[in-house]
Amino acid sequence: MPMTTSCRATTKGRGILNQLRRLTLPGLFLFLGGAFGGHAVAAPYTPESDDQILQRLPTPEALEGADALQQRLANAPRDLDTAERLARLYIQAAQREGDPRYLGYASATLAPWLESADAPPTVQVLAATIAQGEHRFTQARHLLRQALKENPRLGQGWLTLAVVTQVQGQYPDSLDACRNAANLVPTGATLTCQASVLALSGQLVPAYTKLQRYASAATDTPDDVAVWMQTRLAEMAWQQGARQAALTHIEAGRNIDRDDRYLRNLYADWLIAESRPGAAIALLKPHADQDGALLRLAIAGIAAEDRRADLWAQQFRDRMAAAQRSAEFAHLRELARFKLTVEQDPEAALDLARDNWRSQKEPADMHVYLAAAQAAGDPSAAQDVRDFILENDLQDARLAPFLDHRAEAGS
Amino acid sequence: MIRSAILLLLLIPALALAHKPSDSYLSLTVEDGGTLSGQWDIALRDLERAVGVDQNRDAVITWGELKARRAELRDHILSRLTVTAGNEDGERVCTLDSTGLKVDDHVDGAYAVFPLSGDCGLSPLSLTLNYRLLFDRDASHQGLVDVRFGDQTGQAVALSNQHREQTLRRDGGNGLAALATFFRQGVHHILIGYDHILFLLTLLFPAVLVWRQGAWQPKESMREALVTTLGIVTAFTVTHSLTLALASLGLVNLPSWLVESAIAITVGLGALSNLVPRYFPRRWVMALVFGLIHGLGFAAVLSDLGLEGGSLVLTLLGFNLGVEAGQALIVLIFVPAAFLVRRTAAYRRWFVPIGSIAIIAVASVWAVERLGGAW
Repeated sequence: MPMTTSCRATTKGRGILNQLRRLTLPGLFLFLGGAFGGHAVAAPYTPESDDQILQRLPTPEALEGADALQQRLANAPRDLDTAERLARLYIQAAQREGDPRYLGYASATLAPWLESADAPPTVQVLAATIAQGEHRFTQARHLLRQALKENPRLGQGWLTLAVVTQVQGQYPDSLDACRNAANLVPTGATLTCQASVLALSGQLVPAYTKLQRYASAATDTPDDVAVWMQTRLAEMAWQQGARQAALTHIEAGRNIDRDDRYLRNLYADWLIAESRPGAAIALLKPHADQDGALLRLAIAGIAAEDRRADLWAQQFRDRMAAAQRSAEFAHLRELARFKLTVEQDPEAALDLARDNWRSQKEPADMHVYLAAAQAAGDPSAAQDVRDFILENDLQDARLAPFLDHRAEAGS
Repeated sequence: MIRSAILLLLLIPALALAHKPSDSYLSLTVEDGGTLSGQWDIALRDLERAVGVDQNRDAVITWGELKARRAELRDHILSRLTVTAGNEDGERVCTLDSTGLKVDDHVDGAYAVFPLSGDCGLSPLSLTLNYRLLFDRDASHQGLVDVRFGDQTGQAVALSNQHREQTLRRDGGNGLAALATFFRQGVHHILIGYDHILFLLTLLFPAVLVWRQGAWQPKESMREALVTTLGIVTAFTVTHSLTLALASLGLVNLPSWLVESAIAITVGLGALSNLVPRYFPRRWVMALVFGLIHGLGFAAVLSDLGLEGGSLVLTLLGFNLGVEAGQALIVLIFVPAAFLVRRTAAYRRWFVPIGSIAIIAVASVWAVERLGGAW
């Protein structure tokens, strides 16, 4: 259990022996775990002193004021306004901290309304946002359709619908949703929404150019929207093979919000692609408690021949093993990438990528599916991805090598 | 940072992959006698959310704080879990208690470990778990449960807000155990299912005899007796296996009062055939036809035992093999004994006719009772 070192904080008064034990035991378990292929063993223990710190509780900035709202809700359990405000705080905290627990807190807050047959559309939209965050895409769509039928002026609802349909590869529906969000959300958000879809359905260059022009001219874009915009621009630039431009957007986004996890991981992917794994490790090392960072550390660790590579791989394996016990396992794409890149098990990667493809159809999902199929020596296994790419006229420089291979094989 | 009013939860993979959602780990072992033991690992973050542990509000949970809240935590978590044990005789809610407290480190932080003990007061064939921890505060929480019956392999199940209750069966753990359990159930059922035994015995009474010149005469050879017996038993087995499978698969569905009454009538007719064998020349045909009805009766028992959880094919196979084994046991005891006494007048003149009349009487009472149950 290598995580123990970061979870159990040191307290003064512990002997050096104890310190040593805490360092070596996890290492030993790791070794044994690695040697026998299982995941690390642990046994319950009785802490030695009352002062021993067992757990640090996160205190997200986003939750400022949550206690007061919770208190008000306790006094007036049917106060919809308070419940919605609290749920929004929780959703924001989930987004900032990357901690799905807060989504569960948000659902529980809205439960009294969600359980009744006539939940207000605003509550349904919040519930859909939560469902989307938990990868329950179909349920999210269902909730959104209901809510937006009743009240089509909920910009949040249209944006969420656009994202969910885009992830599922239903681009015309997604574009419609973006259009319906216009005038209900900041202009920058509408444009980012539309450009994201168009970039996947045959209009990559014009979509990028238009959004890029807006991004450099607009002055009134809220920061969170601007980060989203730069993230999408970076991805579109990369899609065109323009890696330097991608870096410019990544940096622009990171200059607004240094703590954005998605951008940080994207930056790490960029560094890995540029054969700079050492820089990727330096970037992610402080965030090894997050699964997404751990996956990239494992990949970069191998490329850099870092001696911690095995440790990161084992930690990621343990996390996945723990997560896989849950009924809803939402990490198929990442696990496929891990199997392919770190464990070099293309067959297993291919199975996971295929399962993943059923629910998620973003370029990264296509990439891991195509790469796994090729590595497994069976490029035709990912034929459904190729059909999808042709059908939607999707362009992506990162996918091109796999598609060319097929053209050669076919000729 | 300037925020828009919208929630930009718009970059899909980022969120779920930063951390694991909230799970608790509950493992329970129930012994044949009904004693429960186990342990429940609950994240300190979740206990903080459910009950509150961080008393000095410094965003740090120490061992001292956790220990101080042990009693409240125990009462809370035990009030959020109900374990009910069941077997053929009924259901009982198991007692649950927790003494002691430890800590364990999981991949996503420190967990409190509550040892569990309890008693179900009966020998369980199934355990039903009703899990309610934290759902009112965290709707995405899950209980990851591992249940063991005695030394069988554990059965894993995830309980969530939408799926709070699950019944686990003793045999659900693995195929062989399922087969063995239902085999025992099959044997048990045929041995205590006196209507099936009575039907079989009624048909077998004259297996060692032959109807000649208006009276039962002893058969000469064991071989003849065995051929007759084998014919009857095989015919009965083929057809009752058929309807047992059809009914268990849900392809045939008759009301139980009808099936049970019909079974009583087959017993009566079987006995009647011993009195007037001229009208029932081929006894194996009777076994063949009436076997159809008895199979439906077996299926009712099987569905009472419950099929969810285990594999249907294994369940059916095990149960059916059990029924056949029980049946073979009866035949192997009865037929040789009857063969030995077949020449005695007591057997031919008294036992067969009087026994048959008695059986007709009993079967008639059953038939009336069972038909009466329908109104």
